[in-house]
Amino acid sequence: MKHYTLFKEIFADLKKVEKELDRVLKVDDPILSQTCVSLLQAGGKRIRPGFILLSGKFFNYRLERLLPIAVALELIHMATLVHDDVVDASLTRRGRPTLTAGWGNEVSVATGDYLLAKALEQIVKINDNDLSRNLAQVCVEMCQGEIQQIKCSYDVKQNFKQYYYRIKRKTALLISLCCKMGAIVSNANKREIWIMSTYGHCLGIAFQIVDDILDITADPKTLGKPVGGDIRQGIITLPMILALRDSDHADRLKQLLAKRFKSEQEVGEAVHLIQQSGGIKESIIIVDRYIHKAIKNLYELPPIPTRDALIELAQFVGERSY
Amino acid sequence: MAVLTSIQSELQTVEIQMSKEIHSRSLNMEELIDLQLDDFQRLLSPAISLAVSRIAGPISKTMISMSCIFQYIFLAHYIHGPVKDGNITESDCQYPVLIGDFMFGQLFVKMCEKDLFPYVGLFATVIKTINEGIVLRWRFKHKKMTIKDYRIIIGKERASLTALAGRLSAEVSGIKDQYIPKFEEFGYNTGMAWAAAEESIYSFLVQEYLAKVKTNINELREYLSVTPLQELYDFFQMEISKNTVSVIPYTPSIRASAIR
Repeated sequence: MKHYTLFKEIFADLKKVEKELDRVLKVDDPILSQTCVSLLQAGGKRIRPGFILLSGKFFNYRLERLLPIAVALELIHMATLVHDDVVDASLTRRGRPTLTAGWGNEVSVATGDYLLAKALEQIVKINDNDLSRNLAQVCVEMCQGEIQQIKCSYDVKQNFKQYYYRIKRKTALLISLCCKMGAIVSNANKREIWIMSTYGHCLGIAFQIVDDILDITADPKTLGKPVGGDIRQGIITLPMILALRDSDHADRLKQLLAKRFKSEQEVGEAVHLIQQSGGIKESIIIVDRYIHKAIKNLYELPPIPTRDALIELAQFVGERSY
Repeated sequence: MAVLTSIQSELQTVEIQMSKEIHSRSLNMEELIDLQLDDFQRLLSPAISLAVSRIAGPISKTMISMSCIFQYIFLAHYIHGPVKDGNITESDCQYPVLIGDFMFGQLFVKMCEKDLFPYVGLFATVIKTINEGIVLRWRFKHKKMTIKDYRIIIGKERASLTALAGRLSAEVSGIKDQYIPKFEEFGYNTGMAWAAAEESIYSFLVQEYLAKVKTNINELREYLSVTPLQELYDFFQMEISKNTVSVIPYTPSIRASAIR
């Protein structure tokens, strides 16, 4: 399933978001102009703006109110990607050279900061300081999640609670916020806002767990990168936590995951041990629980095509192979 | 800090407030990066804001929060500063980038306080300007930089922030419109002197800008009681003469504990 199928209902408005991003990122500085254009050209699924617009569809949909939020959140997302690439020293993203690869760390960090300032300008347009405070708080927590991830790398004593803390901040909070803000701006009531926010939260958690499963089980060609990336970086994910708990070879796995510089053979061995344990199966069961929870409350909302799209999207997240 | 008598307690309040906001159960910043901040880096941004505000009378809670914002903007960029091209290792990049971003996050939260929200646009503009300055400096990395170029760069990187601190603090504190450009100039010239003081090859510019600061104070003295500005000027001169202002840029590997 392609994302444009999921977003077909809002396709025209997503194009307007893209146009607005294009306008907002036309800047005078010759270097920043090039880096911003290159980020735009790199594309992206615009999933976050998509959630904002879809969420608004249930209620009093006004694109002019939703647009600055969609643009602000996408700019924040772009800034975090640019900074992530510096943090991870990544040279490619979605098959294209990263800003870090092309321009180096200094320009990349400055571009990320510049994008954050651009997002702030959009926040001014929203002109609602409660909404803006929500967004600001999520930005802080996203940083805390990233920091926690690095602090806990190679720490094989991690438990589900610590993993959940991290993925909630890393992924779920922003998706949940998109759904919540789309609802708030479109005059949803308290219960409806909660439903949308919970949907985004559960979907975000499920999305991240699936991502972590695929890092171990996917076909590298379909995934677009070699498997075992998290193992190489020392990121302890749910399948690993469960495998460490249940595997007959837990001691060996612990040794491999805690090792900072691993050979490709050792990465392969760790992948194999996790696959052989019940960690993957149990992770899938947990994903299904979150998907179910995401969908369950949506039935309280009007039976419009958007509802079917959100349900399909949740099911897609649970079943995706890339 | 003893010379900044008229704003001493408010400066402490700013430091305490920021410390509470920065340190949480889940994040102990001192474990992750160590900042060696000299007195200018620790105090100047909020001190400009507070000194200007003091001229108008008692310093409000809004002004304390605004002073925190100026310091957050400074710190976020300062912490990102050591992330350099080339030979820096992945682990040297990680925490400076993430903690800098965390400072941006705290800054956003602070800006969303009710009384400060109307100024978000101005803060956004100054953050853009600072980063234009950073990129401009990068462009001169392997080129000869003239004094004129250097003035433009530090004007964007540092003086844009201190100029806004002077101007906005005057506006928000209710100082008459006619004097506001002078407070903006005071902030700008202080920022230029500060930035030049950090780079030994440009230290000759420090006294040039301090002379301008002095002129700004004297012009305002005719109409207002400028004691807090004079104290700030004296503090600057004293620190320069002691030569305690760091010319060594912070690197992630330097260990100290300056943000309390």
